[in-house]
Amino acid sequence: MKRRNLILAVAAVCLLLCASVKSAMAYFSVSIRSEGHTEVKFSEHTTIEEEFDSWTKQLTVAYEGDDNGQVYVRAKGFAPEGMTLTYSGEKWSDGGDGYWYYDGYLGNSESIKTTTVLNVQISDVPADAKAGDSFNVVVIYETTPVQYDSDGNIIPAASADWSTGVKTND
Amino acid sequence: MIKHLKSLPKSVLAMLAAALILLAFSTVGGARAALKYFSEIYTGQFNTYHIGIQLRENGELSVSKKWSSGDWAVEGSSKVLGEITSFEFGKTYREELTVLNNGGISEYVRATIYKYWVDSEGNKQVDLDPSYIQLELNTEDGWIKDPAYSESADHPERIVLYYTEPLAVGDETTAFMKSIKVDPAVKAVATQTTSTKTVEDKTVTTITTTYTYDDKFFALEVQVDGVQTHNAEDAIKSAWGKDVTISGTTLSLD
Repeated sequence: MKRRNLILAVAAVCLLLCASVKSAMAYFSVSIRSEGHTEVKFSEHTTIEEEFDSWTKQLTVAYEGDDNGQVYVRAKGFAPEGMTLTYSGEKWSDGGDGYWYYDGYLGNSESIKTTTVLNVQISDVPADAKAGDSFNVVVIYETTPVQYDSDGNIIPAASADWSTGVKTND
Repeated sequence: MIKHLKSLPKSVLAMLAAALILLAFSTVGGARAALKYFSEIYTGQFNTYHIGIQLRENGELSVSKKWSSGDWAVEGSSKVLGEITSFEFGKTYREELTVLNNGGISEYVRATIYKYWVDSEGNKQVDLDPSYIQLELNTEDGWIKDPAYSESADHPERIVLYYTEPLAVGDETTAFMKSIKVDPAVKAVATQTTSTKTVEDKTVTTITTTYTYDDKFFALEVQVDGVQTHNAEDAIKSAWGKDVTISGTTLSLD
């Protein structure tokens, strides 16, 4: 008799638990998901041609990229002591730090090739220089991707950080 | 049988009776729900038991899901970032995301945002940094961010936001996200190679910049969840696996 009572009591508890489980499983919930993606494309290719004539180095910087691949360009010349380098070129200006900067950036419309020319004139060549003498005038040029302020506006080239994450292998 | 029952102690009989009564009531409840479920075709009154949720982007439907006529009804494009037709770095694009309760019962809601990079074939690029994808979130106006599950070290791409008050039927939340932009600093993640050669007495230098993030896609994925407000703490724990506290009607994270 005692055994039967125990079985009945356990059965009663099981029934109660089953009733509870049923209610616990009955929560209403709903879930949905949306997604989207947008391409980031900003390839670019910069070519610099250097031509020497009449004591002037003419640098033609050609840039080919897309709308998002804009770059700044700057150049700096080195000449033997005593010689003077004079820079000129449309939209080029002295940055005051030894570099000449192209005002703005190259690459402002999709898939277009843009060029700019910087002339570096060499003067104060030694009077006793004669044909066959050689001396080195070196112009280095750098490009770096354009940078933005916190409002998303492109900052001037001379104000940009030219030591950003770009790694140059040369 | 009755003779055997009569021989049982009164305490056992009382427990049996209580169990049978409770069981009977729960069965009646189910039968009542089933009856209402089938009768909705004729009366429409069962709407009070339907749950539904809608994700809206810039005031337009993105996707909605609602229990209707015995099945889930899903509508919408399930797309976001719909307004970005011409992309520019650093430009802020409006991406106002809200949740609307299109169901028949009030609900607590939460939003989970995933931001990440994919390649042209749609493969997730787990080694590219999602922090360049910058979102303007709204952690005021009723939304709170779950710090434990947002931009964590193991899941930097995920952000979870909870709406702290129940969302009544037909109501819409404030925007939990307002805009998106891609940090222009991503363009500085690149390598440059320089080569020089002489062509027809000209020195030609070519600088080629290879951008790590070029040809990649930034992706946004948004999931919104709703759960009933009745017995909300247990319901949220069961549906979302999250411990919360409801004080009055206000939800807070444990």
